[in-house]
Amino acid sequence: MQIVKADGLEKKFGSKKVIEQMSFEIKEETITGIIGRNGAGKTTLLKMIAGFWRPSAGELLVFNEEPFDSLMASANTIYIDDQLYYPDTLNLKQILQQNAQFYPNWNMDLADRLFNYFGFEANQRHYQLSKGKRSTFNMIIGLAARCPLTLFDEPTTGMDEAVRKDFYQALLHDYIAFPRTILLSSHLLQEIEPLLEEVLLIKDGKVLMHESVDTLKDYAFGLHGDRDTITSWCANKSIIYQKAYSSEGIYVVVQNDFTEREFAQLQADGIKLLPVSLNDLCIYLTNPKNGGIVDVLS
Amino acid sequence: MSLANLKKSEILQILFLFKLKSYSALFTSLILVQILAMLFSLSGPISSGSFGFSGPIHVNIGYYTGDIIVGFTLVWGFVAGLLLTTKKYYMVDFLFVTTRKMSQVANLLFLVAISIIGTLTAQLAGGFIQSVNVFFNDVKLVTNPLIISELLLSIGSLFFYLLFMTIIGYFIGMCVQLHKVFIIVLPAIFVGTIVQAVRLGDGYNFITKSYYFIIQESIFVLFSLKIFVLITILFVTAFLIGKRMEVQQ
Repeated sequence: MQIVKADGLEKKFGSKKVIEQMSFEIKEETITGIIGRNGAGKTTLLKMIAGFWRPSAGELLVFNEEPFDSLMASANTIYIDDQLYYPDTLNLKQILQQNAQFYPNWNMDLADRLFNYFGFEANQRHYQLSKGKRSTFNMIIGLAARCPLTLFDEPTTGMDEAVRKDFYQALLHDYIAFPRTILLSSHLLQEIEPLLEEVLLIKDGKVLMHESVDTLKDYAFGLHGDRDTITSWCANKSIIYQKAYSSEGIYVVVQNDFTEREFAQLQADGIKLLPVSLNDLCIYLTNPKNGGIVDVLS
Repeated sequence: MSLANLKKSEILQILFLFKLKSYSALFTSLILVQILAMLFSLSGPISSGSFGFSGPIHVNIGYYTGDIIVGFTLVWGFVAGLLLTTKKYYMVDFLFVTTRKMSQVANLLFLVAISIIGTLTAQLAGGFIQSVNVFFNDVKLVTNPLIISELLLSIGSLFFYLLFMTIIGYFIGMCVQLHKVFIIVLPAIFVGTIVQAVRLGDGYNFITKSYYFIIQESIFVLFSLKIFVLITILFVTAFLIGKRMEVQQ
């Protein structure tokens, strides 16, 4: 079953298109990373899936229903970011209890254990929490709600490293205990990589790639060595990234469509083959065409 | 994984109770407003006149009413309706389970509930003012506030006035959510209307006529019917605006 299905999805704010012609499908019970630069449209996409915002054009289905104003979608979806606002009149414990009333799968035992572990007190107020603490508390809600579709938009904002690691572990642990579909947007790809099964890479409001993590790991590799040799090798290859590090030396990331024979030939030519991390690959793929920050500053 | 299918009535009930609980600050403000109004009312009759007769008799007539309390409560109701449409109040439902329709129905139920509470407390506060004057200021009441039919009439009309005010607040709030230009447009219309009404005097113009037609209707059944129609029009309009509204945080 497809949990989320987008077809030609668009979202405009005024005349600016933030999401353009997006089509993808999210399978049931997967953890998908929504990866993209700032302003690529990650939050906009997630808010439309959550039913907060209405698509300007195209089709968006969540559980086979349009999420904007669907009670079924609302009951089975939870959206977590660092902007959540809860009434000042409720303390933290009451917020948890309120969530328990709304979400049918809510696990109070899990919520309580995480609540105590992260050192929250029942009578604290949501607005008094520090940024990191607030994110941690929101994360507890996101996990304990056990919604079939859980959306985390930059959930680790403000969390220190130890808490982030705890969060990743808790997420994975509870995902195994109670499988669900999770969409996770984060700019700390390196950190969330072990959690992810799929990556939805977006750039300028469009889907650049939607692949499994394993596919992406083999998607490209780096060539390191003599400039002329590599340039001739790459003549018919699609180059993802290149950087000259001396007058003769160059580093090029190319798409992996080499044959076994070509690999052997490469090594015979004295070119070093280097793996490209998922994080670097995503940065290269989403790089703007016209150079990097160095070109601006020089 | 199985999807939860919730009953609408169930969610509506949870939403309504959630609002009662989390908007408790509104009730605190109601109490404060009414206490304040009571203090004002205690300072004396709203209007009075005296008649001197030749001889030893001298009569003072004054209106000891809860009018100030009612006025304050109506303003409170207006603000409460307005508040319900602001980001903090309106959007919070969407952190839980809701649809725009259900949120608004829950809002309507909530406005009815606070109107009932506001009416009853205002009525009690009004009674309290009269009692204080009877016991401490040597005032003799001409009307008996304890005649059941009078009491019910008073409670009923106050309820409709208050609900009307909350819905006006809600409607205006929704208009402002739709577009910020209404922050300027609506007060301009309001002030313009009053200026126009004053300029034209108490004569036969549309504004004063409609005011008398609706607000000054003295037959209770007709009055409630007219108010009911108005409330329906305002709420349905607000509802239609809210149905398309996106969640802002």
